[in-house]
Amino acid sequence: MSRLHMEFGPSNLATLAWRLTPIAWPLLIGGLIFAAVAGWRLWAIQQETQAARQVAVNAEIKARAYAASAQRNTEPPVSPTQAALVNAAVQQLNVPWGELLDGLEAAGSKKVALLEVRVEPQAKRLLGTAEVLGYPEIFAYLQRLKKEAVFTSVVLSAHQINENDKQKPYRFEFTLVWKDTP
Amino acid sequence: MLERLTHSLHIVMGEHRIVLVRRKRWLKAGPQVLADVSLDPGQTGHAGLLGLLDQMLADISPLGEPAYVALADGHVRTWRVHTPPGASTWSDCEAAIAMRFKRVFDEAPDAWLMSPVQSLDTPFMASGVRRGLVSELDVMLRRRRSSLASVKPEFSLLWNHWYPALGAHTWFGICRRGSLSLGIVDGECLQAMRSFDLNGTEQEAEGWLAKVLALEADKMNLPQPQALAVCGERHPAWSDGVGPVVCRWLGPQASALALLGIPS
Repeated sequence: MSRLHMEFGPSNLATLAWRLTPIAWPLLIGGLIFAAVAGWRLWAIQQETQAARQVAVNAEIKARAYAASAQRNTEPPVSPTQAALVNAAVQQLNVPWGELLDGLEAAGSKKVALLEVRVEPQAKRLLGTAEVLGYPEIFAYLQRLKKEAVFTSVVLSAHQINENDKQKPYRFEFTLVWKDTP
Repeated sequence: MLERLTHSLHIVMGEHRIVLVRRKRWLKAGPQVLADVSLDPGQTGHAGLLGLLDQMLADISPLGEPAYVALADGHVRTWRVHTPPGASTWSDCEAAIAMRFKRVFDEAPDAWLMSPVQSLDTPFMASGVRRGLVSELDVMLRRRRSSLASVKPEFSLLWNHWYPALGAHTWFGICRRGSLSLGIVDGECLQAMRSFDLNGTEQEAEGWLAKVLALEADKMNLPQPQALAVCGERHPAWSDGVGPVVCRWLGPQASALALLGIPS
């Protein structure tokens, strides 16, 4: 068996409160107090959790920053390969092209056709290829190069006759070593 | 102001009298009868009753405490409702209650406050009181600085007091002043309310109540009750049972006044 719900009074909130049985009032008040305390505790726990999370995030940020800093300190600023490439580039830029070309131009003549010029910056060497019509003109050209102050060494590396040309010129290769300029 | 919290006003609108009782809210002891006016035999119209109640309230000057009204069963209508197939919302049930009311009483349902009394297991019992009666009570009490907290039929107050002592398949009876109010139960659900006068010669004949119980069960298409639990006056003819039905006496409280601790 169960209760009958034959209630015809108004159904507003105040009326519903008046209909509570005497035992329901302390239960309701106790429930409200419990809900308030539980809500306050929940709010406090959420605040504490948020603060702890913030501390953890800050610690993680600091740890990451420290780890990155330590990694920067242990690693060389540039790898050997990179250093070599950079040095090579720097040396390439430091080739005294102006002096070298001036020296070559000063030693040159109409009888010497300069075909190719290559430099090895690390060894401070200039490798040249040229053609002349007469054999003596090779030595005359090398003598004129020796007189240029920019070159410290002049060496004939190889020579041969260019058979493909109708005039049969002598093709020769020479190595120049230049001195450092201040 | 404090009395509003500590006291309550009970208005018992009985069949034969109107009684105003003030009681301390937290204590069942110490009810104070403020006014007790008997009704003239022909004074049953709502307007006359409300006018009399208004006069009684004017005489006692309420303290602003909430008022709880117990209505005599004569102010309440009950009827059985079959929930339409496929009904799934509360509105469906409300519509079914209103349509059944219109069919049974041939009155506009708008003028009545209605609700199911217990459960929505089909079929179920619905009840209603005049909307105007409740609204006029509300206005009258507000005018006296009081407020209407509850309006309940006396039958439901007594049922809610005694139902823990009822068993399954037990019908409920209220015996007082030569009348019997009967609550017809199917399983554990109240299905209908009936009232019988016990003062006639027919009612004094042996086996009258057994016939009534059998007839009502047949009319409602319900199994015969296994027991009848009666509160109020002890009827000597029923003490050994009503035919095959066991008769049990619940106790003397058989009115809203008795539940308030005031002898009827």
